[in-house]
Amino acid sequence: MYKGKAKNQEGLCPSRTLPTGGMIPPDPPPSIEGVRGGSSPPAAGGLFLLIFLLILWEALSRLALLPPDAVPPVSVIGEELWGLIISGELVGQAGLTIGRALAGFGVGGVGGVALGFACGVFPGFGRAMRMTVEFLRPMPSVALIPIGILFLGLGFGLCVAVAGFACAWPAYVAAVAGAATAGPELRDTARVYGLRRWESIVFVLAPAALPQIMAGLRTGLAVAVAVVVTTEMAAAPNGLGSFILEASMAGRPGRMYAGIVAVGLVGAGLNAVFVALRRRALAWMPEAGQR
Amino acid sequence: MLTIEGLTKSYSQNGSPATCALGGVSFSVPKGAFVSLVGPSGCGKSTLLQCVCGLMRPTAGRVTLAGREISAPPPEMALIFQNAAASLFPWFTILGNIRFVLRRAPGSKAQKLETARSALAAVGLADFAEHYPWQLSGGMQQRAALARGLAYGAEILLLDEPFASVDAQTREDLEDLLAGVARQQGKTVLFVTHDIDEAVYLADTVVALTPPPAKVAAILPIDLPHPRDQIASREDRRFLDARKAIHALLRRV
Ligand SMILES: Nc1ncnc2c1ncn2[C@@H]1O[C@H](COP(=O)(O)OP(=O)(O)OP(=O)(O)O)[C@@H](O)[C@H]1O
Ligand SMILES: [Mg+2]
Repeated sequence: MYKGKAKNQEGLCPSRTLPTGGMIPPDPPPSIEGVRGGSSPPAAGGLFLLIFLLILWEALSRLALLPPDAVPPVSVIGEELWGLIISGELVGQAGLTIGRALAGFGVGGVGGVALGFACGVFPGFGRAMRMTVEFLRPMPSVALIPIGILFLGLGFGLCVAVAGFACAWPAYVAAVAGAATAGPELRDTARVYGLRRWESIVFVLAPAALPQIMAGLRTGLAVAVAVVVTTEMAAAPNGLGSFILEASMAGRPGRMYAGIVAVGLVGAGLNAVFVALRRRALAWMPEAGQR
Repeated sequence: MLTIEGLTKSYSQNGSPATCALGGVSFSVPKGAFVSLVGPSGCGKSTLLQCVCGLMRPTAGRVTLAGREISAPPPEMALIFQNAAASLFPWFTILGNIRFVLRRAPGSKAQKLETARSALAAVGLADFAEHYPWQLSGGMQQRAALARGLAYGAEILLLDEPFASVDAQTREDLEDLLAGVARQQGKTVLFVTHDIDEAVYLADTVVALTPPPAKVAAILPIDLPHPRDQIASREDRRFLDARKAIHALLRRV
């Protein structure tokens, strides 16, 4: 008796009653991936602008309106970049940087999410932690490098520790907020249907928190790359940060810019991978999967 | 037997004055009975259901089930929330929502899937099993929440205005579905509605509440034969009398 009617209600455009306002993650920070949903005009416009700026750079440098020693023409940087990629030198350095950034992100992301979620779910624990966290959180991660050197020396361990510290905080903040996302009806529904406390936490509070956690982790990933490069400049014998600084000191701006471009590519690439993973994890959400 | 004795609930907020929602409500729901609860908006019907279900501690009074006081949601009760949309798990499909609450139910996986599917078919959502809640209209979300509550198989059903946002025709179908399930499976039902006709049509007993702080204004037995019929029952002398009495009552208080 219902079939026909149910069909009618489907319509062409199912109504999108979002369960709670809190489910929608905050808008991701603007990034170079362009406008989501692939609307072509803005993306094409962005490409033209980029090409125009590169040509302008080339011209200014060739005309010596920019100091060629500090700003070589784009074509020179391009050649240098290509040569460094072919020789494998830059790839090796980028590999080191990526490994350190991912390790730091893994440690800091997991730690930040676990701490933040626990603080959000258990208010007593959250209150107990607050003072300590609010003291540590604003600490510039770079200030930890000297301490880290004493314990970890130069290189991998140091980079992982400093980047992990830095990227834990965005993850922490997102997880604290995320733990409060499930509304009272959802929590009560879990109780009515006999879920135990731990089951509510794992099967209700955690998935409800996931969109916000993902947004926080995405910020954390970008932070991890930036902090690893910074740490490499200050205290590592290799990696992109060290490569860039050495090139600069040696008076080889072409190499230096090639390294900087590589950092940009690494950041953008990791971000793209993360966004794709997030899209899969949040396929149930109208924002991430269904548009 | 579900007994509600002197139930009082006042919401106290820091600073602002306390709202007294329930001012000593007492009545009982015999095993297997269908009781409708009517009352003006804001009189505390949702509050009452949440206290009955053990989700909320009353300020005074108590609720007992077969002599034992309820302090946490008992396994033999299911509450279908007024705000159905907010009570569906958004990361599960409609079918997934039902299967999730059946996790610990006895029976094989296949049997439980069958239970879930037939509950969805009963509320007319068979074709929407794999849809996520946000892909459904408000009325469809209500039906999905109803299907989940029915599939759960609780002996006692607490329903909070479950048909508030469906069209008249669907509403009649759902009323008959609920009445049929309740009778066949001998369920005890406490049904909140603001629709007097619906209250009378479904119930063995109608409990009317006063404006807040709510007290019981009247308890009316409905003396209509089962099974009821949307046309015949609603034209019955006894239906019309009960309806008139409740109207008068709610207007007066
Ligand atoms: N969480 C709350 N905090 C404070 N006051 C509340 C809360 N929930 C309900 N109230 C108050 O309690 C009273 C009864 O609310 P309740 O939701 O139980 O009414 P209701 O009879 O279900 O109304 P309706 O028919 O509109 O659903 C209202 O005055 C409301 O303001
Ligand atoms: Mg209500």
